[in-house]
Amino acid sequence: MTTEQTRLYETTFIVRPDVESGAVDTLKEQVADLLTSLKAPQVRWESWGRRKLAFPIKKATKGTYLYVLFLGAADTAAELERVLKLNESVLRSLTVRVLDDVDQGSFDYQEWSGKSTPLADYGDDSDSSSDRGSDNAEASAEAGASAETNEEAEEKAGEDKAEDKGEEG
Amino acid sequence: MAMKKNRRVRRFRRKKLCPFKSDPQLAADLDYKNPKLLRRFISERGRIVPRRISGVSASYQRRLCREIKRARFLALVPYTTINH
Repeated sequence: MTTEQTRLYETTFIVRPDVESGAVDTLKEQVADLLTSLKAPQVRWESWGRRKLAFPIKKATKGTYLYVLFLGAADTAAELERVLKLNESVLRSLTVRVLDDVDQGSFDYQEWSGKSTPLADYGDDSDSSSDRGSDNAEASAEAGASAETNEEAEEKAGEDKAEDKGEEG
Repeated sequence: MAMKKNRRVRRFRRKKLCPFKSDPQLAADLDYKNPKLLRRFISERGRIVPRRISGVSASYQRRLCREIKRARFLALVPYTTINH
């Protein structure tokens, strides 16, 4: 605990859908400035655009996703989480430790900044991208509903048979 | 009783192979940021598919479980498909 370990962290946060794209950019800059002031080099920023949420959060059904990969100490991540939590336009944030004990000198920035997640580059406010995620959810919901009705039908059929037998007996 | 037990037909089941162990690319893509992949291991109701059905190895099931739970927190994947 004597030395501050540098780690690679990634933070994803969801911005409320009623925040305009300009304001989202401002928020992004604020976070970038914060990380810079904490001397945490940002490896990569990603915008996942406006996606439909799998379930509503604070009555919002959509949200703008932002993602940042950065190097920092445990304090850095904690401070970023605190700031995001205080910000009312941020619905949710998740910080995940990617790598432990990173040597800043030999860290391969190029390799890490070149990668991208499957959700990246969906662009801002493009509805086609946000619908992609929801298709599956809706389909599975429908399938679930049909499965339910089948079960109910079977149960009813079973009951009918039982009644028939009773009458015969 | 023993006779009856022996007579019971034992169905042959091929041993399921862990999809992550047989496909290194799939294992590399296992991440909470990849909801498309995670959905393969989530039931229609949003539940995590047990490994006796999916055939995922114990170690990958633990990782899969962790990633699904992270994805759920970020609303990339549902906790449940009912009640909303």
